[in-house]
Amino acid sequence: MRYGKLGIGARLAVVAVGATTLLAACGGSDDSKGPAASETTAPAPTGSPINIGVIGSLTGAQASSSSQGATVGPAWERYVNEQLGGINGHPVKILVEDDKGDPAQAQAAAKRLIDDKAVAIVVSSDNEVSAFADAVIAAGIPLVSGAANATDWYTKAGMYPTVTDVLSGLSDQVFVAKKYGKATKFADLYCSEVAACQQANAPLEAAAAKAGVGFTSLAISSTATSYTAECLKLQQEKVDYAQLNFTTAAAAKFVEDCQSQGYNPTFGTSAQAVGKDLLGIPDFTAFGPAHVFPSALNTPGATAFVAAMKRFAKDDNWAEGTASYTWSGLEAIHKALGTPGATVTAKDVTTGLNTFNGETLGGLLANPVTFTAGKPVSFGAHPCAFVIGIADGKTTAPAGAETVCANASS
Amino acid sequence: MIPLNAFLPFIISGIATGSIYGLAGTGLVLTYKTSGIFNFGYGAMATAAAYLFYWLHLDLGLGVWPALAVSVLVAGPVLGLGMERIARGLASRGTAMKIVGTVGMILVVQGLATIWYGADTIRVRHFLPMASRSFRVGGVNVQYPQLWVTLVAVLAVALLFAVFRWSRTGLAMRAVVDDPDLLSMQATSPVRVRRISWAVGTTFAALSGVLVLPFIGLNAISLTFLVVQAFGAAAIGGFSNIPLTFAGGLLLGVGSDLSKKYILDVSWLSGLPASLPFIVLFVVLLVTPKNRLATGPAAEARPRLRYHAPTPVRAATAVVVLAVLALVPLVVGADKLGFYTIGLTQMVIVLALGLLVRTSGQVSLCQSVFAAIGAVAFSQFAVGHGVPWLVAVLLGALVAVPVGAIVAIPAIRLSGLFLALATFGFGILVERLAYARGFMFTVLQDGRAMPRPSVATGDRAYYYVVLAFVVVTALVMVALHASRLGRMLRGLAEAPVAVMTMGLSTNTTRVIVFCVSAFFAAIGGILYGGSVHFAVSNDTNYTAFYSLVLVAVLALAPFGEPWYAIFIGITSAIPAYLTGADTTSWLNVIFGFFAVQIAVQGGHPAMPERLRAVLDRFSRPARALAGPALAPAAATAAAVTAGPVVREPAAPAREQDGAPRAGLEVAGLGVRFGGLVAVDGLSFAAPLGRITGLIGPNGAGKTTTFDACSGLNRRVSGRIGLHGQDITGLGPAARGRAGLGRTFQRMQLGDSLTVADNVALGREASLAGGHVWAQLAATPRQRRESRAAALGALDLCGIADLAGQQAGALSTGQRRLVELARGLAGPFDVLLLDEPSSGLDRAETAALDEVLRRVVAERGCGILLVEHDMSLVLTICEYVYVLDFGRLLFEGEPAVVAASPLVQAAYLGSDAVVVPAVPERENA
Repeated sequence: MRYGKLGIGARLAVVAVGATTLLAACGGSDDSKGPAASETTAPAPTGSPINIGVIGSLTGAQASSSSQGATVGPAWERYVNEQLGGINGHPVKILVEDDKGDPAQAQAAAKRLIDDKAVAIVVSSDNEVSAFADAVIAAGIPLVSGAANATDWYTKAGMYPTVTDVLSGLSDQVFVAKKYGKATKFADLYCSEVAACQQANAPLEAAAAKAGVGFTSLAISSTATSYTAECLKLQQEKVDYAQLNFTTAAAAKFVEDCQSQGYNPTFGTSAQAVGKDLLGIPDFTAFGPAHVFPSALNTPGATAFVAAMKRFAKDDNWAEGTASYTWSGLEAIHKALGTPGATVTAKDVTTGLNTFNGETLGGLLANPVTFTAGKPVSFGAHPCAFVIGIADGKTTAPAGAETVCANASS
Repeated sequence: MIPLNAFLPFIISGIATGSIYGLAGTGLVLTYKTSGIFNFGYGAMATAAAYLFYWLHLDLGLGVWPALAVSVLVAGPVLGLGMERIARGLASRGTAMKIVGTVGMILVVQGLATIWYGADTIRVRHFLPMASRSFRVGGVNVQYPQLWVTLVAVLAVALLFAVFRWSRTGLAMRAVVDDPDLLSMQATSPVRVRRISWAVGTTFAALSGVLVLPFIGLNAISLTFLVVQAFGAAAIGGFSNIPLTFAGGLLLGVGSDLSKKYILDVSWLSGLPASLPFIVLFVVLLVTPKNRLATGPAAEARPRLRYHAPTPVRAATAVVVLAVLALVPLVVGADKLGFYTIGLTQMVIVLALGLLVRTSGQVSLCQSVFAAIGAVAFSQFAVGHGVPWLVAVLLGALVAVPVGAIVAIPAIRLSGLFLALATFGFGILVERLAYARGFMFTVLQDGRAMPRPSVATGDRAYYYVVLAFVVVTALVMVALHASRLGRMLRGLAEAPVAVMTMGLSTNTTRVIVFCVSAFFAAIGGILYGGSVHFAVSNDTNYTAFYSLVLVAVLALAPFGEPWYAIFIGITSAIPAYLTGADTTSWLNVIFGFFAVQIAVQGGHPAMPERLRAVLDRFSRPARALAGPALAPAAATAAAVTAGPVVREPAAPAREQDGAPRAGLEVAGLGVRFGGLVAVDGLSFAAPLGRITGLIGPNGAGKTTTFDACSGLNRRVSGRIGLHGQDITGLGPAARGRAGLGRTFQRMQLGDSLTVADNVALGREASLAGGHVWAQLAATPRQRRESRAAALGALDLCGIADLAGQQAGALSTGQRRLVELARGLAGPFDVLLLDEPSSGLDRAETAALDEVLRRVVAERGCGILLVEHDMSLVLTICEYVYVLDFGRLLFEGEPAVVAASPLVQAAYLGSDAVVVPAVPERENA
């Protein structure tokens, strides 16, 4: 059983993406600003199909936050084929695989994708990526991230993350807390069951020190029956900003337990989905960074995503979890392929990815990414993020469409 | 600041959940007390009710009260009645089956719940009235739901206690455990009483499950394990006392929350509050005096004979199985091979578990912990220190060995159910306290990297590497089974007290078997990690829950050792072909369901006779254990004078040099049980070369005296001497090795073993003794010695023709003789025989008479005989001691004793007595 295994990066993104539902709902007028192309239909492409794999935890523990790849992938396929006319005449074919949250199933799924001659694989949720990364890389197929919590993304050649690693992205939590939450003392509340949750402590503490914000941390058990003790402790320590780096169901309970003790600080949302659990809490104020686009932002890329989802998606969970990540990964491959010739191979994708230099995919990525063959990935000088917020049961966009960058002079 | 205010919030929040623990614990204790079955699946009952309530109230929209009524007051009793049926079936089974039968239920409920609502936790809001309001107590806001929960729990338990204590039904409930037949004579049906108990107990489970739902959310595993924390409460209540159990629950709840106050500052203890109930469980089980842990009824159905096909058949089967396994990579698709490889790794783990559970009868519910520890240690050696792969595997597995030894500690003082409980608690403890720590699986999401050997990084090559490990493990297991350790383990499984008194230091044996099992389980865990390339704390195969799955699969697996391991190899491959999301959950449901079936049946059906006969034809002419057969049991006088075949003496013959040499000498023996004095100031002697009688009415303290002499009861005063040495300070095994043997009033035989195996134990146990190497293997000379001793003993008792038969299939009389033969096979020169003629007919008794005389005459043994058959006593004993109310009433030669009015009065309570004519003694 997974106790909130989502890495911090994913959780942040999930929050942001989850917020998009409400941003989209509240700021519905954004849609009308989109290009008319969202309604066009192109002639069917006739070249050889380009197989792209999408692998993620569609079922199993934490699936509710990891399963969006199955919605976004096929929708993107239709978007590319029917609306854009394929990639230089080639239709794309999305092969969706479920790793079921199990490493053995993940290995089997990856093997099937290799057998099916996928030219690239998007890992929409990377819980099991360590089980199959080596095999895929050995087959010459590039792995492109959806969510990227494993450290392998930043150390193994052949893996292409589109978001910053978890640790460097953490400083944004503190930055957002200070700038928007007016935090003077920041608390990192991390899940106690999974060791990986603890890795945020040191970087957050360092970021807090740099920002001149007080810091404390607390391990939170998602199966605890009452959080009274933790709430009172935070209150005693005069914490005014509590970052919820653990599962949503527990986070909602945590907030309510604290409020019932008369303690209601500003919260940092890193819960899995800004859905009814958190929004249903009265008198709840929260902020958080997001490293991939919130869909309602007025950038061409985000608008195209929303339009495509509304037009082609079979399910309606595309505003949550790893949906935006998956879309970003697919768009990265799209960009890498450029204008391919008669045959398309995995090598073409790899070569194309390695030309990325400060690439944001039209505003989809919060941090411009540079891939260089034989060198580690680079994301620019400062970790940047979009900002989302929750107040009065609604989501807000405190920074508008801009990204904010921690440690930047501005 | 008043200290109390600082603690108050923790106490208050702890009371609410503590009362739920207490409620759950009470229901558990109720069913345990009245049925003797400890329901490991108790948490599953609570989970089922919780899911039902969620469905009714939150999915279907039914009101709170109707939903509560259905899920607690209807589902509770219904589940309880179902449990009663299962418990009735389990009642006569061995402990292992009892545990498996209830563990199976956890798997069924968890599987179904996951299929129904998925594996993620679902938030459940408080549904009791005034859910969001609170009131203030001492500076803390108390939420109304916390108050309601506490009130409901207290009320329910108080009601139960009142009923239990003061009503007819309650009295009947208490009586049904002790003597159901007596109860039925009182026109109260024991079945009806048990049904009521189970219905009530399970209703309590259902109530706890529903009450706790808003506190932790809808999640099958955490709900199951949360109620399992009730075990901690039950442990505090000594598994029998209801008010104490409830208090224990409160203590656990408050303690957990109080501990948070301190550990919030210490991050590495963050798992402590969740583990506290298991720490308590573990500690309580370790320190509770053994006699306070109420044991269930001893009557168990006979286990089936372990059958081993002849060696040529086994060898042929091995070749076939190996060939099939070797062909797998060539036949299955590349994407499916990984599952088969994993299946092989699990085979290693199951073989290790089988050594513990099937061979030595120690049910361990923490096997996956060893796998995890091995994997983590291996990674640190191989990746952190660059140790070569194979060496790292062995070193990693060795790290798990001391942990196995730690788990063996409870095994030393507990057995059966309580051992299973302790290991279960241990597994969860380690998972909650240690898994999340950086030193285990690191703080990275990737966990520990698990490299493959550099020569076999490809999947096919790695498959063969793992297959090689499986073969080696299987060979080791087969060798162990055939070795002395295997024989000792089988003895330990079925007659632990007896083997201890025969000279085996069972503590050492238990530690050895746990260490061996831990070693191989760790290897399995390492190989599994290598198969998926990385090891993380929440990988299913390393979780505490998976230990339950392993036990269920082990119980389900058909065939004997080592073939049963193939079963998990096959089931691990199923998810490769049935790729639905719920396959694993359905497999769990099926495993659980059939585990319950198998347990109620008492195990797999035996191999059909015909098939056995066919296989036996392939056996080479076995070297017969029985020598030239002597006259059968109904011996005639000729048997006495015919003289035995010349063979090696079982023990160096001690020549009598006129005066009887010092045998057993007891001076001033006193035994108390609490306030009851069982034996007081008893002194007697049973010298060598003589048969001494110890008689007295029932309850006089004869068996207690035996237990004190053989060291099974160490809380005695007085002095016990053997051969002139003081043995009062020695343990039972040491006394056995010094030459003191015994038989038991309630026979302690290995019922699933053959007569020959049983008898040989008598000799081999003392040869194994206390040294690790001696327990592992026997030298050829020792093997000959044991066989000869067994042969001689069988001859002596005239049961050589029974040598190949299953001990449990024999009549009582024959079993008595087997026990006697076992005692005669050993190097004992003082034998304590506890009612050896009980259950024998006249002819058998006469034969027994002759055997005992021969033993004394030929070997110069001393025998202390406890008997109710007066004619036997009076003919055979040279000297008799009479015991009454724990005191020595009279002593003297048989005729004198028989004529004594004191003795007659003690037995018959009156002056008029018919003295049996003392038959003429034959000259020996």
